[in-house]
Amino acid sequence: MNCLNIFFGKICGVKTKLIFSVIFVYVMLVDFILPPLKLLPRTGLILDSFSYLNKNFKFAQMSIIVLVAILIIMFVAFFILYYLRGALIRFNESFPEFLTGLKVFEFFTPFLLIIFAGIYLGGNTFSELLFLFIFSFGLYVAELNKSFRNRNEAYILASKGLGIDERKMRKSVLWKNILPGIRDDIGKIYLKIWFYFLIYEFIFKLDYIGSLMRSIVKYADIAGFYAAAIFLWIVISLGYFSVTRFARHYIFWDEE
Amino acid sequence: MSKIIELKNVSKYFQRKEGFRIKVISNFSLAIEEGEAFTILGQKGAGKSVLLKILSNIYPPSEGSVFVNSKFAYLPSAPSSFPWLTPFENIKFVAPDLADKEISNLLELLGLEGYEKHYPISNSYGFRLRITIARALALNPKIIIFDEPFNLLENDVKLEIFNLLKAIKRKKLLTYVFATSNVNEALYLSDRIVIIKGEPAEIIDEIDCSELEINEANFNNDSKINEFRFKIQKSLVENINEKFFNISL
Repeated sequence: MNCLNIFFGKICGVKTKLIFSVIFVYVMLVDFILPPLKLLPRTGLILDSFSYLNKNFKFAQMSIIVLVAILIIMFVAFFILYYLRGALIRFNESFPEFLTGLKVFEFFTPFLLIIFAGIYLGGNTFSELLFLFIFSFGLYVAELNKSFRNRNEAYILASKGLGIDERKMRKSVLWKNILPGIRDDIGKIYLKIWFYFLIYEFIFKLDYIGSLMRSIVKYADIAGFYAAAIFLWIVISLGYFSVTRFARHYIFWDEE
Repeated sequence: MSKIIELKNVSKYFQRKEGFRIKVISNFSLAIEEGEAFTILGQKGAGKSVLLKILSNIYPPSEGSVFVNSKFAYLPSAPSSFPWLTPFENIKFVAPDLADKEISNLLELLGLEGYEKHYPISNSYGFRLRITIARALALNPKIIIFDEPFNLLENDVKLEIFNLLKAIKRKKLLTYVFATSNVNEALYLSDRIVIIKGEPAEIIDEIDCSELEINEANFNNDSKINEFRFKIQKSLVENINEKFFNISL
């Protein structure tokens, strides 16, 4: 009973209540009050569109595959960051301004990378995965740089005062001091990867979700757009929840 | 007793981004005897912390020589126990060769028994400071340098830790070097106090209080202790006035 209370307590948070309210209002408006409108398709039509997308594009299956691929890419990029942590922190100490330049990843560089990957690697699945990997690694490094600038000097002083050698200090103390910063922004990193994945797919009309998005745009299929957007939102939220919970579980301490 | 720490004509400059350099310590000389509890007392910004960092080999001196004749551990002012490690792991991290039994003994000495597996995440500063002291003791140092780590403690916890430090000092025959801006802290903990003024740091007075037998009971009402307290405060206030006067000119 207690478990049920906790579960429903979480389910019925403010955001969830808001979402259910919006759905309720939408259903009432389009199915019972308003006359048929092209921009606000009836719920039955959206459900039909979802079945159609599933049947013709294997939409649900593809979305799950993409989610798993993104999670694997994020994990591999983090694993490489972990192995390079000593060198990256050292590089940060020596050239603090250089890695700050990676902030451009947040703005236009992903688009340039998309074009680069598309032109030179042929806009296929491999180039897409490579692009997403480089992009997520770049975001991690940018985050590492940001957290490094906010590092806790007391840990460094204490390590020096206790005779801990610099290599161990970088790989253990500084790295652990930096991790909460990465954890706090891992949700943002995940969402950015999804965002650029969708753009990549759309530009190069790849078989996963790209061709589907093109079809929706081509035929101005509003119900299809709603169905795809709702299902993608659910899949992305599921991944977001998993990534942030996983990070919070393993990186349980905070920056000070 | 022999000299365990000696600073000879030490000066320290810091280069500012604007291009000029500032002199934080000027021609500073100091000797600390083995087994002493020695305090550098001064206002904030007087250069106490820089002096302790020079002693701890964290900052090299710009001029002069530093002689530290034994193993030491340095405790910074902010809490520095690692929150991602338990008290046990904190000690193991700095002294990997230390046997588990010895770590348990250290934790017991610092009153941390029963908390071996508690991460110092949301715990009190007292808890974190006890871990930091245990971690320092794990290195088996002869000297412990305290760079104002007591600032964030509640008064009752502070007193508890001071008494603990005194007991540890007696038991392990340690030398303590403290930096503080608090007269009572300095008086309670020290055998000898040097009062410094800043810009650049220089000694303005030295007070030997080794003859005082200070404890919790007599600290606030013993006339001799009060006399020393007054003497230290007077020295500090005169220094403040002089500084104010100079600025006014």
